[in-house]
Amino acid sequence: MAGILSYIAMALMVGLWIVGWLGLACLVGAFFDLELSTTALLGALLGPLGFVAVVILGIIEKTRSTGSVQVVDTQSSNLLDPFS
Amino acid sequence: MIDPFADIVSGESESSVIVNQANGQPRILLPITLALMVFIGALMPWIVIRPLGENHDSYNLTNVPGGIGILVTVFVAVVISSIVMIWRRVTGMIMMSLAVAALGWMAAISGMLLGIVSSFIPAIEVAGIDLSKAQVGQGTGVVVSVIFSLILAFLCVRQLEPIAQYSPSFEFPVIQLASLIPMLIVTGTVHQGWLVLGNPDAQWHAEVPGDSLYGSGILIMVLWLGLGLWLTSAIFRRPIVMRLAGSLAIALSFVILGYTVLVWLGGRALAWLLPSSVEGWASVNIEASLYATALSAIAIGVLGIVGIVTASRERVIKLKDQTSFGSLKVPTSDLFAFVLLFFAVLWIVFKLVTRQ
Repeated sequence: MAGILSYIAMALMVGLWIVGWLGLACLVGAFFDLELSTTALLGALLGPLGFVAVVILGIIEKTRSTGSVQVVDTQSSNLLDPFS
Repeated sequence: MIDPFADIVSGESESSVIVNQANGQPRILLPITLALMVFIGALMPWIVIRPLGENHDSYNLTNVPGGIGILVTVFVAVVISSIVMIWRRVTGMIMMSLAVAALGWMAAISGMLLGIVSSFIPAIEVAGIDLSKAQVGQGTGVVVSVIFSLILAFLCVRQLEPIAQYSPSFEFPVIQLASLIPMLIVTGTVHQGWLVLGNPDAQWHAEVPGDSLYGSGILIMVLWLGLGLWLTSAIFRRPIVMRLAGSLAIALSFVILGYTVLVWLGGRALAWLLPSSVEGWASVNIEASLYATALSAIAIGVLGIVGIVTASRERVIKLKDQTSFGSLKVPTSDLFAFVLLFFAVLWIVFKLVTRQ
């Protein structure tokens, strides 16, 4: 009986740990518009390191896409009719 | 001339220029070998209890009720993942990594929990031993399990988009790899005895490991974070990540060196101050692991500085996808697996010979 209870406790503890970090990574990944599957796996497989990796990946991706966004803004402003 | 009205295309982005992914799927042998190494780690000591005046005892998952059940469950999951890997390589790898990550995290959590609980409630009893009369710390099995499960996890996540764009195959950044070595040494030596008080020949002696010092629990957690950051910077390959990892490494180096210097000075001062009449039963011995920790801390700091300085002009070791031994060509991934298997077999033979 003690073995079964201990088995369940250990499995629950690790399950909670993995799902918890998965959730946190997904939350932060959503903030940076990262792909859900990537952030979920980062959190589940790497735990706290995955969380840090998601933050770093988000910053890198955001920095990279910011340059393109500026170009889009400039061009789209030329095309838009302000009186329409 | 650039057409300003052309469709917005980011062009050849920096990352896509760097990307030089090898075509084809990852090979099957290395993930299975890494999973095997995690199992070997699970059979090594996870928790070491050093009672005062007695030899230390070590425990792992097999000593806990239900522990063997957990091992069998994870083993079955690894076998199923191996079968899935034949058809769906990355899916199988992720399944296998999740299974062994459970073991790795179990090892890490058990060590952390015990350290935190024993620091708050010193009178707690573990395995019938009163921890107020003993030192408790992590064993080498935790390091082995966590490191190999992390390597397998990193092998999986580097297959995912957009991480794959930042992580070229068969290129190993020099600074990151070099920094991992002293960090790995410290993760091991911090759990070894730094100082032995009393006389080991007599009944009363106490071993003081690095992880029994005040604040060392937080230091070990940050050490793992630093190790993970260097691994992350080896995957993401961006100057900002390298600078972040380098900065943390320098901070870690100062703190670890501070601990070792204080323990060394304290031990030396005590040995110097003790009258000769009590030296027979109250000697102070500084262990080799203290010096190994101090030297590794210096190496961590120096490599952190070098990492920050050379962040924008990275040096890499390029490996071929195959290594030739005469007429025989072995894929590099399999070669790593064979080296690991060699060490695994050595460990098994050592265990059988010593019957521990």
